[in-house]
Amino acid sequence: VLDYATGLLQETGNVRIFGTVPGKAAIISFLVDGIHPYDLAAVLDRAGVAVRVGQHCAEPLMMRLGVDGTVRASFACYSSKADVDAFVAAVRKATAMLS
Amino acid sequence: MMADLAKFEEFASTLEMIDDDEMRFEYIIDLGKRHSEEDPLPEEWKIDANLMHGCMSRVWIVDEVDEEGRHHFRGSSDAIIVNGLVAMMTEAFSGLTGQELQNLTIDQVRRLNLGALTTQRQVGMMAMLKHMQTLGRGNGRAHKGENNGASGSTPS
Repeated sequence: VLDYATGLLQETGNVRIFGTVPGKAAIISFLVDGIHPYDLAAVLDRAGVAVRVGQHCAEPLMMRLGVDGTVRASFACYSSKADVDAFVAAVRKATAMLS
Repeated sequence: MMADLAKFEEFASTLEMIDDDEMRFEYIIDLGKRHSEEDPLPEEWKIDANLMHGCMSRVWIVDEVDEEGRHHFRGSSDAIIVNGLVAMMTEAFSGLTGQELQNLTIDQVRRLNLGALTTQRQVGMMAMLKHMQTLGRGNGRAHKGENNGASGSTPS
């Protein structure tokens, strides 16, 4: 599911994924170019997609990365490809609304 | 004299006319985009002295007082949705005297979001009202960069 989501997000373009090391936990921290993470998370929330947004208790890392924060999607054993499709569709909708 | 709240009423009645939360949300996003294009806050005003503290995104509000003692607010946020809220708040409550600002109530601010926002953002709008009321108790001397500590000058 993580690989599927990563691939779909990368296909959408203008998405910057933070952390792509092999074997990483099933999370994707990301930003969409030109869109504030809080705006993105707000639109995802309204689309029924729960993500975490902000600095994730990692302010020094965010400063090092030069970002205000990221949006983070987490997947679990019960997450399905359909969930991922809904998530990516919501990211695309949010990008269109906020650009 | 009664406070001139025509702009506030315009925003409130527009939001009341829109009968769907999703559309109200999009209206606020559009306001945020338009505000950035039509009334951008000069970059040199985006300094710590004008920052409103406690916001998840950055919000700058500048207050200037005219010769009649009326406060005129300008503001900006780096997040579009919050920028829309800043646009509404600063436009709705500009042109009031310090006393008129103190008379504004939370119920009035509630009319500016009507369920389109999360509780967190509604609380943020209340905080914005308090911040503008605090500014309204001052002389409105705007910080436009000349007092910016980042300029490198030190007080003698």
